[in-house]
Amino acid sequence: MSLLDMFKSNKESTCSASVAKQRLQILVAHERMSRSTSHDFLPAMQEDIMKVVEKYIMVSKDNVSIRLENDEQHSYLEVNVQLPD
Amino acid sequence: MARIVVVTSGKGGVGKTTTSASFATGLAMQGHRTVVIDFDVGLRNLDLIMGCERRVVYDLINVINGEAALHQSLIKDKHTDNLCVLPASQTRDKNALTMEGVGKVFEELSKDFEYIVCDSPAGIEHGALMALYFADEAIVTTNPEVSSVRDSDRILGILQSKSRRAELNLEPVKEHLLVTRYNPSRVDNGDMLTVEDVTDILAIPLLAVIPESPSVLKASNHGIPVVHQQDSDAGQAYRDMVARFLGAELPHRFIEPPRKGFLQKMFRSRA
Ligand SMILES: Nc1ncnc2c1ncn2[C@@H]1O[C@H](COP(=O)(O)OP(=O)(O)OP(=O)(O)O)[C@@H](O)[C@H]1O
Ligand SMILES: [Mg+2]
Repeated sequence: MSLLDMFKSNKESTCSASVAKQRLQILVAHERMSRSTSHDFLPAMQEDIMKVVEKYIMVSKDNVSIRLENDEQHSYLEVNVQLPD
Repeated sequence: MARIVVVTSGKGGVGKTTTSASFATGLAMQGHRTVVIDFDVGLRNLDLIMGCERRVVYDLINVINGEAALHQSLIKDKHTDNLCVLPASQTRDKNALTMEGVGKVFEELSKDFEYIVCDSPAGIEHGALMALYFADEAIVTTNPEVSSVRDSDRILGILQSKSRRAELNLEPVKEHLLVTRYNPSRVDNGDMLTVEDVTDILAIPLLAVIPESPSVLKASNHGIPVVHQQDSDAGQAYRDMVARFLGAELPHRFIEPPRKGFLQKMFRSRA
């Protein structure tokens, strides 16, 4: 490290603008992904899954839940069927 | 057909109205017949920035509702030839902006103008959607600050999914990034995002950088768009923006901090 370097601020890692940039990059990537995996088809898919389930098991609509979740790298489809006693 | 250009942002107070006024004025100064429309129903301000507030008789909603003819509501700009202002209503509800009504107004304006510039209200509600729906091009106005960048990204998503061009599967709305209220000294200190940071994140072509400038306030005090001010940095940046929009290739100015003192320079020069 030269003497001159000591006078330079340690810009890359510590300044608030670079913190802002890092936070934005993560946030924007996340929000873009949830935009692109449109959830518009969920109700229709729920209907279809219900039809298949109903073919084999007696369940009411209230006992089936379907959710789509995203995290940074993955999307999860969660189907929960509560079976009758 | 006229080109329809929306000045939009999501976030409020970033400089949309300032930009709409100077951009439309700049296009007209270059000889293009231009009309600038205020879509901020209930909070009209473009008339003040353009300095025509005392000549408003009818507004966009009057035209949509058939209460006035289009030519009665258009205000000819006093300072610039080829330029008209179509004000927003101050009293009506923004739901009076129907897609059909706005479409008809654009169709009629297209006969007389080359450029239709739309000053969008903030937000992503009805007024903002109506302002961007028919757009061919969008000036995404962004301050170098976290919430503004995030909201601009939201607006880009909306342009790509809810505009007329998206719905009809036409060629997408042409997106331009405009960074406004840029303060090179604060960027240099490391507490403001750089132009490159903002362009990296939003990933759309940079049209221009408008510096934070006291001349913007002075211009709005007088009701004369800052683009008219020959010696103002913001005015020059807006003139560059217009020239680039019309196809000129110019280097970006006003992104370096003002010259430093001798000592500071010495310590910086090898950075
Ligand atoms: N480059 C600039 N330098 C300094 N001040 C600016 C600059 N651009 C805009 N401003 C100021 O910022 C304020 C907001 O600007 P403006 O009204 O154009 O924003 P807006 O995006 O239209 O706001 P709204 O979302 O409320 O419609 C005004 O006071 C204006 O003078
Ligand atoms: Mg405004």
